[in-house]
Parts: sequence; C-alpha cells; structure tokens
Amino acid sequence: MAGYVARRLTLAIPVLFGILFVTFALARLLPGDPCRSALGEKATDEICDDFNERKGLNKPIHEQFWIYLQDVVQGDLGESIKEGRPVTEMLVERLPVTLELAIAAMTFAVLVGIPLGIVSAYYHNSAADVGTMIGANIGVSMPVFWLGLMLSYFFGVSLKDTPLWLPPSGMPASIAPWYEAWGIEGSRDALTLTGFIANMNVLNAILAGNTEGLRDALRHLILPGVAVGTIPLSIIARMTRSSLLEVLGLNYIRTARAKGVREGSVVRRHALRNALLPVVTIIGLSFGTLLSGAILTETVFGLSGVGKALYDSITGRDYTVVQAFTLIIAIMFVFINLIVDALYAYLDPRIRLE
Amino acid sequence: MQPTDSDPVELRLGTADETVASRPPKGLWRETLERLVRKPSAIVGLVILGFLVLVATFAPVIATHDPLAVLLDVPEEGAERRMEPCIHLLGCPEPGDEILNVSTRDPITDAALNSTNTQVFTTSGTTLTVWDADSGDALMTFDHDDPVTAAIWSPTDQLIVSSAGNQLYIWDVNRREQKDELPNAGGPADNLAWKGEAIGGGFLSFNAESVNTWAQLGSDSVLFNFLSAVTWARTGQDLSAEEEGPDVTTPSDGEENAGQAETEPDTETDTDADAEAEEEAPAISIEAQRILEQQLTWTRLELIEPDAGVTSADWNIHGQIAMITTGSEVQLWSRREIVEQETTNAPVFSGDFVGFGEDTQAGQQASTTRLGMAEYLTIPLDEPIVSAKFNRERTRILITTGSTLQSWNATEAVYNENLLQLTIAAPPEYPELANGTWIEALSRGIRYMMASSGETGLVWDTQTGELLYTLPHGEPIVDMSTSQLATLIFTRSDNLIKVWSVDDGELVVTIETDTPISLAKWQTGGSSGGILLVTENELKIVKTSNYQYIMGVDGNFRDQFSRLIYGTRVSLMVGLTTVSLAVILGTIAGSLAGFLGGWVDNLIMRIMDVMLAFPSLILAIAVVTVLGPGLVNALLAISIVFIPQYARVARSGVLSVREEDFVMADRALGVHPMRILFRRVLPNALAPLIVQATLGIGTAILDAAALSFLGLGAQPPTAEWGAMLGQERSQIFTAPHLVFFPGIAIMITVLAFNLLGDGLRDALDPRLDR
Repeated sequence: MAGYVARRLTLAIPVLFGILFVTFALARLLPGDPCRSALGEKATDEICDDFNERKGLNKPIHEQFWIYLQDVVQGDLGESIKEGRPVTEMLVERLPVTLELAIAAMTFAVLVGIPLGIVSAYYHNSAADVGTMIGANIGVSMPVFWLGLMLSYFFGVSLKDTPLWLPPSGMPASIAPWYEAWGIEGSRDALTLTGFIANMNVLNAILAGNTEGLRDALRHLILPGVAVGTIPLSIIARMTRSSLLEVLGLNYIRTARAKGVREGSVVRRHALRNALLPVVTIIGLSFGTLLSGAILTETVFGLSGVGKALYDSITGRDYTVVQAFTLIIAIMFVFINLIVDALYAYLDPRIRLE
Repeated sequence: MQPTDSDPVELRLGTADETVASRPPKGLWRETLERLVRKPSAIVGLVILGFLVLVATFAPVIATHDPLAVLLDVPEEGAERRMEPCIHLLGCPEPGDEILNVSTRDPITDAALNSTNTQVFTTSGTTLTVWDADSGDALMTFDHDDPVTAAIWSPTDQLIVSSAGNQLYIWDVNRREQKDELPNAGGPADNLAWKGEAIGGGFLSFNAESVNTWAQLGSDSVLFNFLSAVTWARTGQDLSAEEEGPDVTTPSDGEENAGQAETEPDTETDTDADAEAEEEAPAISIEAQRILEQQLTWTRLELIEPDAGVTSADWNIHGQIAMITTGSEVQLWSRREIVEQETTNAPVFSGDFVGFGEDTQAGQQASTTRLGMAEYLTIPLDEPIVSAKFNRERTRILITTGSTLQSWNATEAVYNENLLQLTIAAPPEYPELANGTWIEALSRGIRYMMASSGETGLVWDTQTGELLYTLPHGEPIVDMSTSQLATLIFTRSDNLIKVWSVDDGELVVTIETDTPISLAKWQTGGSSGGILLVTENELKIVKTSNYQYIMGVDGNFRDQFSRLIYGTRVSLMVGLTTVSLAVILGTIAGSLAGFLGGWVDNLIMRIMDVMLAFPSLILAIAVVTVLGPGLVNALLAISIVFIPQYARVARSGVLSVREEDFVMADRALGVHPMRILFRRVLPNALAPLIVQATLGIGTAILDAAALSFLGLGAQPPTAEWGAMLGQERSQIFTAPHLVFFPGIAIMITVLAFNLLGDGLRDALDPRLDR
C-alpha cells in the first residue's frame, strides 16, 4: 500500500512541475509590462529597472522559472495588485468559507446521489429510475450560477413568510468564536488556526455550542450547498446506477441469490461494496466541478470565499491573484486526486497489486 | 465493438483492404443510426437540437425585434413590462379586457397612475386611497375633513397633493403620512397641475375664479446649504464613521458659494440642487435630505385672480411660466422677484444652521424683494377659447377656439412678439372644434395635432396644416387624448371609448360601459398598454394594446425574447466551434502519440496530464486572463482546455486499432505510416471521439456561459445567454424572468447535446445496450 502511494506520488511530481510551468508561462504571457501592471502606469524607467532587478525579470527565462519555483515552494505567490498584500494570505483568509461550502455540497451530493443511484439501478426501468435519470440529466445540464440564482429567488422571495424561507444571500450573523467557549486564547484572524476554525461558521457554532448560531449558519449554507452540489449529485447518481447495474448482472450476485442470501444483504454487502468503487473515483473527480461551482456560486450568494475573491480579481483585472489561485486550485486538485487514488487502492486490493 | 472500415467508397479492389478479415454485414454508420433511433433519449435530444438549429437559422424571422436595439421609443408596452412579462401560453389579457378593477364606497372624483404605473390613487368622498396597480390591493388611505375634489402625483411619485375644501394637503407616499397642509386662497381648488422638479418645485391649484401657484422654497441660503450638505456627504463619508450621526455644517469655502448662489436666479439654483440630488442620490445621506426638507417650506408664490373665469392652467417645464386660460385670453405669468417696500410674507430661512451667521444678510435682502409671479404676456383672441394646451416640452401652446386651431410659440414668447406659428381653420363640415391636443411622442416630439368636432375626431399635420384623417366616433366626443408614445388615440363619449391608431386612424378597440365614464386617462411611463377609466365608484384599467414583449424587456430596454432567439446562434456556434477545434487538435495530438509511441507519446501525454490537472473552468479563466476578455478568446480558451480529453480518447482508440490485422497488412505492404494513420486507424477509432465530442459540446456551452457570466466571454451588447444572465443577475429579485429564460435556454441546449451524446454512446457500444 505504502509502495503504491509512493509510486503515485512520484508520478505526480512531473505533473506538479508542469502545472508550475503552465502558471509561470501564463503569468509571463500576460498582456502588458509586468512592472507597470504591478506598480502602475506612471512608474518611471528607473523604478521599473529596479523592480525588474529585484524580481529577476531581466534574467534569462529559465532562471526566472527557477526563481518562480523557489518562491512557490516558500509559499510566496506574489502580491495582489489591488490589495497590496500577499496572495497566500488572501487565499488562506477566504478558504474557510469555501471549504465549508465544498464539504456541504459534497455531503449533499453523496447523501442524496448514492441512494438515488441505488434505487434507480435496483428498480431498473421503473418510473423511479426514469425519473431519476431525467433529473440527473437535467442536473448536469444546468448552469450552476443560474441554479443558484433561481434557488435564492424561490426560497428567498417566493417562499417568503413561509417556514421554508431561507436567506437568499449573504453570510450568517457573526456569533461568539468557539475558542471563547473553550477558554482558549484565540483570534478572529483566519491566518491563525483558531481563527481559521472560527471562520467556518457551522464548525464554529458547533464548537461553541451555539444552537441558534448553528441554525443560522446552516440556513445560510443550504442554498449554496445545494446549488454547488447538484452537478456532482447528478454525476454520482448516474455513476452509482450504471456501476451497480453492471455488478448486479455478474455471476457472483446470481450465486449469492441462489444461495438464498436475503435480497437486502445481496445489494448491501455483495453488490454495493464493489459497485461503489468507481463512485469513489467520481467523487474525487467532482472536486474540480465543485471548485468551479464555488467560484460561480459564491458570487451569486455573496459568500466571501475563495471563489468570490477570484471573481473580484477577475473583474478587478488583478491578474496575479487569478494566476496564483489557478495554481493553488490545480495543486489542490492534484492532491485530491492522489488521495482518491490511495483510497481506491485501499478499497480495491487489485489496484495496488497491478 | 468490431473494427470496421467506415468508408466503403474508398474500397479499391486489389489493395490491402481486400484482406480485412471480419467485416460486419452492415456499415457502421447505418448500424449506429439504427441503434440510435431506438433510444428515446437520443430522439428527444435530436428533436430539440433540430428545433434549436431551426431557431438559430430563422432567428431574424422569429425574433420580434432587433436584439441590440434599445426600445425606449418603440410604440408598444414600455418599461413596466420588465417587471412582469405576460407569457402567451398562460393567457394574456386581450384588448378590451380589464386588467384592474377596484371600487370605492363613494363616487370617484379623481384618479391617476404614478409615473411607473405601479400605483394608482382614487379620491372618493373624503378619502384618498392608493392602490397597487397590479394586484388592486389598497396600500394606504389618507383621510380629509372635506370631500376631495382633486389630487395629483408629484413627478417623482414621492408626494400626492390633494385638494379638499379650502385646504391643500401634501402627503408623503413613502412614509404614508401627511407632510403639509396649505390654505388655498379663493375657494376650493378643483384642479391641480405640477411643474417639473421635485425639490424646490411646485404646483398650481385653480378653480374657475382663481389660480394659486405654490413652490417649495427656502431662502437661497437653504438651497445653498443643501448643496453643501451634498458635498459634505460625498466627501466626508469617513467623518461620519468617527462622529456620531451626520451633522450639516458649512464648509470653509461657504462664503464664495453663498454669494454665487444669491446672485443667480432662484430657479437656476432650484434646478441645480435638484440635479445634484438626483445624480448623487446614493451619496447624499438620507439625513441631509431630511434636513433639507425640513428647511424648505411650501409657499404660495402668487394668487392670481383674472377678470374672466379660468378654464385651464398649467406650468411650463421649469416652473417659470404659468399659462392661464381665461375667456378669450391666454395669459402667461412668469416667476420673478417682485420688489416690495413693506414687509413681505416671503419665505425666510429659519436660520438654525451652525456657523451661518451671514444668513441674516440674505434674510434682509429677502425682506425687500419677494419671489412671486407676474403676468408678462397676454395672447388675446377674437373668440372665446375652448382649450389651451402646452406640448410636453412646454415649448408650444395649442389653442382651440370654436373655429380655429392655433399653434403658438411658448419659448420665443419671452423675446419677441411673433408668436403665432400656424392657424388651422375648421373645415366647413366639421365646425365647433374642441379638445385641441398635441399628438406627441416622448422623444420624437410632436407628430400631429388633433381636435374633436361633435361626433368626429380630426387629425392634422403640424407642418402643413393638412387634414390627415378623421375618427368617426359616432357619439358626441367629450374628451380625446394620445398615449405617451403617440401611437394610439382614444376618443371618449359618455358610455363609449374608442381607441384609434395614430399612424392610419384605424379603429383598434372599442370599450363600452354601462355607467357613464367620468374620467379616462392613458397609462403613463411610456406605455400605451391600457386606459385608466372611472365610472361612478369604479376604477378600471382596460387593456388597449395587443402587443407586448413576450419575455419582457431587459435593463437596457432591449427585447429579451429576441435576444434569447439570437442567443441560440451564439451558443450553437460556441459549442460547435470550440469542440471542433478541440477535437481536431486533440485527435492530431492523441493519434500521433498513440501511433508513434515512444518519447513522442510520453511527451504529449504528460502535457495533456498537466492540462487535465486543472479544473476546466479554472484553466479557461486563466487562459482568458492572458488572452483578454472576449467571445473569440473565450472560445479559444475553452478549446485549449478541452484538447486533452480528446487526445486521450483518440490515443486509446488508435492504440486499440494499431495492432489489428488490417493495419498490420498495410504495414507489411509498405504503406506510408501517415496514410495508415489517417485512412485505416483513425476512421476506426472515431466512434468514441464522436461520443466524447457530442457530450463535450454541452460542457463547452456551459463553460462559455460561465465565462460570459463572469464577464470574460461575450461582451455587451452581444446577445449571449451567459452574458444576459450575468448582466441581469442583480435583478433576480425584481425581474426574475430576465434570469430565468436565458438559464432555461442554456439548460435545454446542453441537455439536448447530453441526451444525444448518451444515445450515441449506447448506440456505438452495444455492450451497454441491455
């Protein structure tokens, strides 16, 4: 198992290197003079020479790449032109919200998608199956941002004055941070660990034992979570269905049934365990969709997460931030895929013996 | 799947093709097609796609408008339809249908819609009720001591002025409370007219004997202080964070500006203050506005009591000139400073602004002069005047006497005496003219002029004076009026309203009532969609125009439906071009990698791995930031991002076919490798590529829409669904249909490609065909 993971890690290294190269190339290909786009149009030649010297922009391209690599390894992704602070800081600050959104979306997708897929495969060609598949097809065809807007209109406006009303946008009301309840020194600043946790509203409310705050935080999380989670949900449901269908047709299932194993047990213990293997891969791959979805959904719901920051830097033409975020998201994506691969190998011994 | 040669035409006897061992009985494509038509989902997908292609092809025929044209001046239902489009499938009101019907206990004496057609008030008995013009719910009632005789909206819909007994009441619609109560001199006013501006603005009230002109005035220093407050609110917003609550203080350069403000004519200052207020509305603190409102007081400018009875009175647009019609005279009164020796009742600024000691000086000045009205011009006519009307710009006056229609210049009036522009004598068969009115559109200006004669309406050309057409109403006409965009005219007799087209005088719709109609008005706000009419104690809005924007009008006043139709072209184009480009490049890269193997394979596939490591939308965003926003760049970015998946599919296809016997045979015969690749290998590896491409089109359309939504794709004013969504997303709570329809369009298109792709995949892969 360890050997397998090590092998996968070594395979990931050239990919990571390639990602770094792509983002480096994109940054160098940006239109305009890097000095003047960083310091403003009015920067004089001397200032720019100095800037280029400092940033190594006058060196040969391979040396620049080397400098870039060193910077990235040290966690220096450059400074935001608009905000004048390190991009890493901005990212870490915004991460709790996005993390929470991604977890909520994935939980929703898995908890709803897998049962739907199972029902749909087991009652193959029934009305439930057809309905689920139509729904899943529609689910993958919807623009995430549109779904978000429609949900916020429906639950925020149409259902106003009903118990189903949900806040159409915005962040939950701020409550006392968890560390106060625990009697720990802490800070609201997301750059500290205590602050990072405190900025995850649901987790913070749970840790602080604030039920009212938890309710509020959850209510603010439902709509964005559903919006982001719908596409992964549809993909997971389809994958579960087709995978389970395939497994249910295999001989060992027939054998199990012939032996008189109870139907529930056949599905749960024999079929599902094998059928869920490819679903795990799909869940891992869905994180990419999830991140793209977060960018579009956070702007719609006014959540100040990574996606909103990225959107703001796109509209503000703050390209360093865009590039840095692209890099980080890609690296995250690679590692998530690594974890999924490892998980897969853990679940299916055939893989690691290959 | 069996490897087959897809292209039987290429078969030449005597070449290596003869040696193909296993050829299925049918051609691959025919077999695939047959499988495909057995898939209901694929059929649905194909049908939708066919429909979309038709829509895209015939977009100019289907679309009702130019997708880029701004519709401000289009003679149909205007801006208010942005709020609630009527979708024809659900049944829309037809011309002649009532779209609103409210009734009151007492007979209605006056009624009017506000400028956006969202609220309507009625006056009946002693109450004034404001109704929601869509739902007919009563929103608020204002009670008076005496029966209400007349009422009027202020131009900004913030205030309602009502006249009851000898008093005038000013009501604040937002706060739902009375703001002011003014004594009307010369008996109860039965008519009101407002002048253009809101702050520092005014109205006049008149009855048969007298005209009261009113203005919302403070001394010049008050208006100046307002300007200071505006400036302060704009520049000193940070201060408000430190000091608790904004407090209006005079800025240091107050002296100079104060002097300036005093030397300028009062009305100029009014306009400036007003313009400032509107332009900078978000920046002015509400507090500053409130302070200003407290400082301004409603003041009677002048009480005008002409010798003969007043038949009508109106302001010009800036409120400097009041036109009063009495007997056979039209009098023009202008607003000016009147020097009086004795103490006046002129408005004096109360003076509790901090640090404005100099104000007393201004107060002394005001005590010697007062702002009032003076008659400066009289237009005497030989006959009694039936009616006199300003045009909307208030630059011309149309005077109707029994036998003539006269057009007078109202702007030049101040400077020269040559006022009469055109006189039209009544045609012999149509004597006794009445109801002379301009036919003028909001922005196109005066088109024609019209008047009624007995049972007939007459329309003349304004330039030549030629009689264009007649409107045979059939009953004695008591009123006639044109809609705001000058597309329709109604003529009204006691129980009958007929609506005519302005263009050709054709009858559009006839509205009959059981009870006599006491009042009829066109909808306002650029709309000719309905007539507001009052019969005894009922108020109705009756639909007149059949036309409407099917999906509403977007924030830039463009027809949403036409934009949606043209958007089909963009989206299909986006989907097909991006995927074609990606497929071509990906296939070349993938097949070279698979066919050549070795280090080429390794290099190409590692590059593809790197590209696949990015979530597609994120990489596309990064690429567009480099290329710059725009539809073409977005297409390129999406194409680039999509290359790896096709490369992978092509490579695996090539790898599976590479070792087949017929390829081996070709090799043995010494056929050029490239020829083998393109003639033998690729056609056989094509099926999965086609599936992938069909499924990819959907994703490409979604990604392009997302890029446009983020402002990186199609730029305004292109009618692209994602961009349409992005532009109107802030309107989601007020105009959800503007967001709903583009999204549905995207969804249907993507769904069609997905269904077709799924169907194709099943058809090409018989294993799944269970």
